[in-house]
Amino acid sequence: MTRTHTKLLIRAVLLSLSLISTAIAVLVFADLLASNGYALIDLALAILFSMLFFWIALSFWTAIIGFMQVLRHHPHSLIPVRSEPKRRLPHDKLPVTAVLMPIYNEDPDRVFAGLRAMIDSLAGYGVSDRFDIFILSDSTDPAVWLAEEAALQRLLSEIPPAASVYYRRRRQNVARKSGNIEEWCERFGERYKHMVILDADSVMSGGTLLEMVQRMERDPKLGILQVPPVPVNRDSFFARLQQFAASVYSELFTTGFAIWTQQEGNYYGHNAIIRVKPFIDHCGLPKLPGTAPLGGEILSHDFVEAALIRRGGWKVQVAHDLGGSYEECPTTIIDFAKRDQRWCQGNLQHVRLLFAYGFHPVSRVHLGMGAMSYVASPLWLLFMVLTVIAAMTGDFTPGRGPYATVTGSTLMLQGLLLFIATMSLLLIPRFLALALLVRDPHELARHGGEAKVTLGVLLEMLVSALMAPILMLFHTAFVASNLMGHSVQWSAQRRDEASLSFSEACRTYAPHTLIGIGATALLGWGAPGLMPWALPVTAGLILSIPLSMLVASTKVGLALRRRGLLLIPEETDVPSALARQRQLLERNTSQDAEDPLNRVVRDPGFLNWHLALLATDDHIRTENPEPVDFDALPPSVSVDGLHALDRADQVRVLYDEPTLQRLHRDAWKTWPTERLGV
Amino acid sequence: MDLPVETLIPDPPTAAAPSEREAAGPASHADASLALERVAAYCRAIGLRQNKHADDIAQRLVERVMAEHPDDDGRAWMRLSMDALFEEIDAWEQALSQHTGRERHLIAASLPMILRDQPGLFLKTDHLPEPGEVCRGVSDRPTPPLPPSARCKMPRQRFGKPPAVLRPGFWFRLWRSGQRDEHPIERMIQKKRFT
Repeated sequence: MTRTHTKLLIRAVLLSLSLISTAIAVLVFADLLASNGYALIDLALAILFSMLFFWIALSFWTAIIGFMQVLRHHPHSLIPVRSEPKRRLPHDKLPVTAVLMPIYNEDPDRVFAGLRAMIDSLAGYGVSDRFDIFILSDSTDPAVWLAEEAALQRLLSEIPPAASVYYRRRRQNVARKSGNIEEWCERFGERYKHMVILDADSVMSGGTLLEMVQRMERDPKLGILQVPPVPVNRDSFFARLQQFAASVYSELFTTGFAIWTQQEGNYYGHNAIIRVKPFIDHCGLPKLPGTAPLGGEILSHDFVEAALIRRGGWKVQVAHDLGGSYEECPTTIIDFAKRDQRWCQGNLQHVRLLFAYGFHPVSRVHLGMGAMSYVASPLWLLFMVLTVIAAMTGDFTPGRGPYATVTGSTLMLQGLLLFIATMSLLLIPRFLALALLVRDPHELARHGGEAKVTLGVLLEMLVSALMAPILMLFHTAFVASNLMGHSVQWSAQRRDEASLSFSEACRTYAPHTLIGIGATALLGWGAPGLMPWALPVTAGLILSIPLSMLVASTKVGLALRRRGLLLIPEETDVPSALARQRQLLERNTSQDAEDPLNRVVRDPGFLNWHLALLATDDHIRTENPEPVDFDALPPSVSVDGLHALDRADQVRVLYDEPTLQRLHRDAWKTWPTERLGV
Repeated sequence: MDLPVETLIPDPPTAAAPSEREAAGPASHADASLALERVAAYCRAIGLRQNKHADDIAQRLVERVMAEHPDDDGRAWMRLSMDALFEEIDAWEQALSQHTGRERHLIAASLPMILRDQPGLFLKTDHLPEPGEVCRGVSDRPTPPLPPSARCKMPRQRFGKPPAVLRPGFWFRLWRSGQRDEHPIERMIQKKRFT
């Protein structure tokens, strides 16, 4: 059997299993609905149920395929290094690879600590000269811009001589992150064969980066190789739940996904290596017709780029067997929801591309799944609302007249069966993942031992179940908002640990709580029989305020960690790259950071560094921006420096060397000694 | 690669000869301390600490200003002394700008080292090379960016139109034709027949 046949067989099996399990569930559900004959609402319920059940069945069978694959490589290696016996080029024969770090108003301390950790990790493998690091700034906040320059200055003075780091800032943030990468491709891309795309919170080990390049060299038709990132470094309860879940369960899902997608895998926008030439040839993103939110710039560019490069005949693979790829996750439900709001808009745009010309069917599936991951929430909500209406109108009562044979116990049995089936699809992959972990003593120890892991899985399931309806309402609101034409703004992601105050929790979750209370009251009045079934949903909503505060707490997260709960291997056996990042971050944040807007005026060395970097800006040379009229600035600018200006004027002045020099000299002639720090 | 930075950067504005300084004697006014401190601090900020020139330069400049403006107060002497210092620095930078070609590139390539060891005011933007050269290890191999002529353009991809039934306009037209009691397929047939 050829590779193509195997691939098609796996897909056929996955699809068949998902359809068969859905069909069985729908038959039972239809029987339940038929207790008093069929009405229009029953048809709507059946359609919704079949869509939603198929959605979770697909995920379930993906995990089962992943489980079987992982089981094959058991007992001692959950992450088998498949490529070891294969051809490996000597390091000096590898092409120089660009590592791109696009940033947008991020905390420079975090970004540069991660970069430095990667540079040190590459140096540890002796391959610093095989990677050029590019920091591609789109930062619009002048203080962040200057802080990035200061961090760069320090980084360059500390890294090994063989390492090359370049900094480029765009004046205009055309097309956001995808435009940032595109500008790099057009300006620098011809020099490089491969590029590694990172996110501001990405860290990758030197060994992983090296292996990614080796794989690209081994397979000349490989266009994108995605290494699934593992969430790490967070301490809040919410974040530690995500980290634990990803660490324990994601192996099954990513392995299963990689197996059925094969060369038609997906790209998540970062922690991936891309062949530059085909990317340039095939991935120039157009604007979608119409205006935002569903038209205009393509927001979730990654899925579309994967589909485009595949359309061009290049492979897209998920390297499920590679570790050493890390990211950070949101620390509160609110931050998680904010991120989802951006992704939701981007993924809904994908619906318009489902039938784009020439896309591979599996690429279309990825686009559809991306949209469905958000559309599923309003569908679930609608399903529940219709179920309640049906129950209140007597749809789920024992049959009357010609349907008298349908008894209450039959209905109860059918309902229970469906509930168990649904729960099984959601929970069985978790227990299978737990079983795999228990069989591997080494991995089990790194997660805290059998009892702690089991307790962690139960805790994760309980809290996830309570949080699910909260996220369902958020997603529903986002989808509705997008469909009504509201668009999200491009704001920097909050990546630090932040607790949630009671007032903020009340403001955010009051609607959830009220909906929960209202739904419970409605059920109690109109369909008391449904109350126990609805409890997992209504309880999460009613408890949303205390629950959100609890999960946002870093204290709770750290307390659990001290007790060995929700541990991940990256905490018990910290990889060197992450340890280095943490060490650098502690050092960077402990140092007295002077306000960069003050420093650029005061410090002649830093001013010159800023001017030197400014001179590397393509746009300032080509566009020849209008010089700033110093006399038109507020008189207080000589005394207060850049703080006397609004943000737009700060940016204008920071681009204008004569004005900066004048401010600098005025400062040294007029500022008090303490402010100059001398 | 060892960059001969020291040989490329002209000597900073040097203090007056020791004999001249001794002849001038210390500043006579107590207010001069403000100007002395400020000028010396600036000299240190631009990296003259290692050369031990900061105090000498401050002494020389402040004495000169005091001699030229004996009736001013300490604040005015500070401003005037700083002006005098900036004039000297401009002259010094002018000297640096005489370096051309490879020397300039070497200076720029060693920018971090210069800024670490002798921060400030030894470079002006018109000396700076292409962006890639403002980094470490850059002189060892070809560096980005490409010259504009060698740059590429990412062609915009096309998605094509989705099938008619997936376009909202199709359903709207279907609904409108229903309003007119006219089946769209029937209309299509009729259209074909008569055209």
